[in-house]
Amino acid sequence: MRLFRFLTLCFFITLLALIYTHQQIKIFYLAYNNEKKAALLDKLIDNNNLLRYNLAVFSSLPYIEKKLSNKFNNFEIASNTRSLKALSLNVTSNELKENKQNIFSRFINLITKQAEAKPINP
Amino acid sequence: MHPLAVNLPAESLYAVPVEIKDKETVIKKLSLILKLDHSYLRERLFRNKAFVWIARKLVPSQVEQIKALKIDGLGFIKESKRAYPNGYLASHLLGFAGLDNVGLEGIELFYDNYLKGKAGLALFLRDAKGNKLELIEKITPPIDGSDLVLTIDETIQYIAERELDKVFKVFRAKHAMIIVINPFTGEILALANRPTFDLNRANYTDVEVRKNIAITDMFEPGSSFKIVTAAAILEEGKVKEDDRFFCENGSYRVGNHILHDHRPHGWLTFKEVIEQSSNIGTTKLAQILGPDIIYRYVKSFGFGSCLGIDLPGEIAGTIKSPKFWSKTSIGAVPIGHEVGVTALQLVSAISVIANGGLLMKPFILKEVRNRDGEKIKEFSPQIIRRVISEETSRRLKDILVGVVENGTGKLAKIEGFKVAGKTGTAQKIGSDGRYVHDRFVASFIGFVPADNPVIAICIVIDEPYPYYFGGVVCAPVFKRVASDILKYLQITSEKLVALKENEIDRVNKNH
Repeated sequence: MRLFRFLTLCFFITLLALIYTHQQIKIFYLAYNNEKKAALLDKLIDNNNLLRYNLAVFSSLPYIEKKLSNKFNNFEIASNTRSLKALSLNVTSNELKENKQNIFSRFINLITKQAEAKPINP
Repeated sequence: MHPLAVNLPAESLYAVPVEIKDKETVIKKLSLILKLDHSYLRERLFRNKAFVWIARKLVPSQVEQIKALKIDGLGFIKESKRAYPNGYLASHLLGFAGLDNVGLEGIELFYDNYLKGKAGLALFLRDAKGNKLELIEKITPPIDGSDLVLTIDETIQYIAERELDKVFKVFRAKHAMIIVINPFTGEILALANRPTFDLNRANYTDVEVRKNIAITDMFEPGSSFKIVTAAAILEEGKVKEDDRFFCENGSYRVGNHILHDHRPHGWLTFKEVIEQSSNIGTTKLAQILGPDIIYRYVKSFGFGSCLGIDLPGEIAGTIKSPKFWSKTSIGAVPIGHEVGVTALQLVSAISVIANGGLLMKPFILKEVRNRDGEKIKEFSPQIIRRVISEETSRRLKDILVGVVENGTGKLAKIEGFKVAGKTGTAQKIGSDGRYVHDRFVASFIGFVPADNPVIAICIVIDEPYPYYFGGVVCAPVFKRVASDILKYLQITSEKLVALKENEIDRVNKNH
């Protein structure tokens, strides 16, 4: 009876020890795996930073100027407006009257599209 | 927004001297890759130490070559390296960080506390081979440094530097400076000096080149300083624009000194005195005011004291107290001699006239953000003091428009816009303390559009050659820089606004 108890006790202690050892091995196994993944993640982040830096360099104005400098020494910012000086038409009132439309031309204009420019009163 | 400074990963090479068997072979191989002296490497590898640095923050190609050698006793530690994608752009303003990422100049130094963050701490396990395991026993997380959002506009900075480069080279100048500022807020939109340097190679650049001379060096401004005298006399109500002054046909005795104009003038109105930049006319105005009033306005405009810009190294300049003025000082100080000013003070002074009379504190840092982009601090414009009234500012604006339309600043004219400005040409002082006749400082300060200014600009060229007049050397730079900036900011010309309004009126009448 005593022997039975002793063996049972040994069995359970050994079992616990094995479970503990297995747990520790698993923890270290996961730690090694994590370390590899962490190293990989670090490398990816570093590569990402380097790529973003290169993008910043290539899109920087000094770099673009250096690339274009052989062709455009004096390129300037384009204006989004252009003002044009129109010449005076010197149109007389008689000529204005002649430009008035007759009934026939008005009828035609109703059914066709036509661009029209009228002189502006100065 | 584009980053102006970033951290990049960089590996640093160390050695454990006791573990290296054949040191001479290692020295030869490393010397070829790293381009280092044999004597330097020998000194390092023969040290009786467990750890020595060989080279810090190497480029990836060098790291790969050394790793391929598979030498026992050499290892790499990962660090971070400060890198500047724009190279030379805004180099004096940004500054740079040293080997340990500690700011040494410019914004990097001034705001190092925000940028550097706080190191963390981690205790982790190693295996029997010394390999680190991802098993952390104790951790204090690091606090990342903050991101700084600056007031400078990258495009405006580029435009300013491009034109500064041209004038610096064409006129073979000793130095050149340009500052572009928002006159209403004091935000610095661009600041540049020549000669300049690549921030990624700051360690190989001469210390003199790295100085931000726009705030650390002073010079006698010459005629551009006359805006102070003109503002003072208008504010004190002593003259009107049409009051006439006899300019002595170009020669006038002040104390024991003969004062000259660059061109002889007879009778000029007060407006014409400033437009034609008559030294004699300005001296007569100053004589009406007296030294004490002039000194008061000079100080009020911000000269003789630091403006408090958030950059290291700003100097106050010099202005003598009236009790130290000689008999000739009344003919010197009001025309910009016997005073030492910085380019920053000049641009702030012209901004006073542009914005209706307020001296604004110039600043560079707009916001501080955390790593997630959230704003944690914001900086607002600050008024230092009111210098002149709005009415005086308006009258002075008209006079300065006259300088560009009719006077010495014609080369600063921009089609479709009213430009206000003042030229300056100052003789330099030689080593014997006397003014020389072959070395000058040329300057132009101005703002545009005159009625509703968007930008104020100061250009200073030290020792231009062969031409040296501010109106010839600096005014065209102002024109080119301001034109491009106005296009970039899509500021419509006053002519176009008038045309558009006329067209709207016409359409409304027809309907």
